[in-house]
Amino acid sequence: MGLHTPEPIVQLIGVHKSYRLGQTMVTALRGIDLQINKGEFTAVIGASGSGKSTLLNMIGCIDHPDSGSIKFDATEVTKLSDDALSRLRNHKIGFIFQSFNLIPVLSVQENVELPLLINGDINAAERAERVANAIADVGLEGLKRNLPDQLSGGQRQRVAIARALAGSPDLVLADEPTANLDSTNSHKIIDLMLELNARRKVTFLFSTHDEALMGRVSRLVHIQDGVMKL
Amino acid sequence: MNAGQWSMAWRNLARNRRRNIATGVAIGLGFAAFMAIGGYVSQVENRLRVYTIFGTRVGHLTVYKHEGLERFSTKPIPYSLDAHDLQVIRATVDGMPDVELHGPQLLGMGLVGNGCRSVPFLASGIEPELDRKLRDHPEMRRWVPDIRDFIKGRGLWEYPDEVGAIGLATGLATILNKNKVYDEFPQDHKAVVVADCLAADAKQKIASDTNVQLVAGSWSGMMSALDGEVVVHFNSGMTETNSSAIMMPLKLLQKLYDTDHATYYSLWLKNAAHLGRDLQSFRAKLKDAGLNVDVYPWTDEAVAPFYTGTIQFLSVMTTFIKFVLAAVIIFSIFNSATMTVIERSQEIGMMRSLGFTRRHIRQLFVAEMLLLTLLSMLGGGIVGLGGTAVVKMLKVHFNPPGVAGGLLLRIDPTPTTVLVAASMILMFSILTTLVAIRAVAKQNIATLLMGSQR
Repeated sequence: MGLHTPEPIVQLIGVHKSYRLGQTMVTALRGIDLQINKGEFTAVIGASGSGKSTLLNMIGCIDHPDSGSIKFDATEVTKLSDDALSRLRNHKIGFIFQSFNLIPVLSVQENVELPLLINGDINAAERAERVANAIADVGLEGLKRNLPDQLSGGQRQRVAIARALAGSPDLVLADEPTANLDSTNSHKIIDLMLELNARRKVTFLFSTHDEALMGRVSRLVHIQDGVMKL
Repeated sequence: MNAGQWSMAWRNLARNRRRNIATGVAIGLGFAAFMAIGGYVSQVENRLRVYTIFGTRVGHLTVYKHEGLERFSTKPIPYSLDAHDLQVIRATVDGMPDVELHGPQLLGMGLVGNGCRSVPFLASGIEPELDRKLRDHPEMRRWVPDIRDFIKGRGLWEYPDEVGAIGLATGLATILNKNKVYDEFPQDHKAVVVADCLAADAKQKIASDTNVQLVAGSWSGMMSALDGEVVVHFNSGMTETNSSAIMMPLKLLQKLYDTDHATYYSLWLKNAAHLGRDLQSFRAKLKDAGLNVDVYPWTDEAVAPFYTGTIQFLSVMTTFIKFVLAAVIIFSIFNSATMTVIERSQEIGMMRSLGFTRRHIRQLFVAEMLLLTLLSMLGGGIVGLGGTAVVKMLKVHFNPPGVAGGLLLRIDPTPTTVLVAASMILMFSILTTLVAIRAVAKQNIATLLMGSQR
């Protein structure tokens, strides 16, 4: 057996971010240095307002740092255009949101298909296959024609996970994915994410302040007042 | 956009149904109103155009002696077309394949009497055969059937010269108590002499024949008079002329004025689209022939003041109404689109996170509004066409100022008016939605995802 060399998927160097909240400026990140390696199952933990969500936004290329460098697969993303960032997110990153963010008039199947609609690299047949696989992965085959309001909270989050996985991303980001779920469902969702991490070799990075989940991850990243804590 | 994106846009219409229905009703009714206004204006424009060109016999092109249009009424001899002018014009026109009909006309005034009462008249003399052809023209049949058709009697062309056939406008016929026409009496019927105009039966005697006397100052400076038989009653189209207008054969009117001149010479073109080209070519030919004449197109305010004035007024009025309608539609769409965009800002953030570009977002919202607009216009189109069918069925008459006999209200939206209205509303829909979505599509994704938290 040879030595396993960690391969970085995301690298942050000296990332700072402030934003205006009403009349005051809030410093959310203060010089973050972080490397996420391929295949990791990492949780970002910290108190409310510590900068977890802002950190995930930076890594997910949906917000720009004030300073510092962010590399995704060795590509400096802070220099990319808006369209290039959109393409990167569509092809390489999956998102899971705290409040699921499903489109209420679309069925499970159509919600999962959403990121694939704008992916010009795949045809309709492949799209259908990927959607079917993603739905099967989260165990919702029997509910694929249901609308979101016909599903429970846990089922809705499974749809969101399937939507995040449908594009076969390298990294899945989840911002407080269990915050709106009870403890049973929270564990089921984490179980599912762990299983997909192991089976699909997808890198997972999620934020949480649920201490019960912290022991189930391969790596913990502590953040406090916008600073990484060792 | 692919089929999936269109499908998503379609499904999104099911959200906020009440707002979408309200917006759709505003768009649909706006479209119906645009159609109705377009249909009405188009109908009025066509009626006035054909009335001017064929009804008043101005023609598409009219030739006057130089400055004759302004000066003919005070100095008819030098400012009318003489026999030589008419011969040259006719020869020139004969070589123009684009001309469908042509001929000279003479205008004049004088007194017309029934033996007891004389009133002023305004006469137009035309070759009877030209009058027949003009009345038989498809444009006349389609757009001004009430002007084309006689109220009573037959056309001048039906009678030999010796009859002295003339036509009276209905108002003048009433004033002169000549309510019957030549054909309503036996062939050998003689004129009835009214010896005492104050007698109790004078009115009845006046009405018992069709004879009238025309008196005018001849162009040679003498008084001239002749008898005419009223063979036809017609609607002049205008209240101001309906109580004074007479039409008669050109030769008869020339005889009254003791002249062989004509006031003007009119040309009716086969294809009015070539008006400008034909005008230039005709002017050049007449100049080459050495004639000192002016040629006017029918659109010139000088020869068609009623047409140009009415159309200008109508244009200003309908532009104002269209502006108000457009404002209602635009603000309805803008309000709906803005509310929708604000409500769905978190969803826009989610879609942007999944890789939708700003263009994708704009396309999606524009597609939603386009579908709503198309659906609304379909409904509005059905309402509009239904409304015009009802108006047609009810045969609504109205009396615009200056129009003799009133008019039948016609609202006939043409394919062009429907297409123009649809294109305008679609354009409003696209531009207004783009304005509404513009700011949100540009917003930071993280801010969108956080909704109002930040």
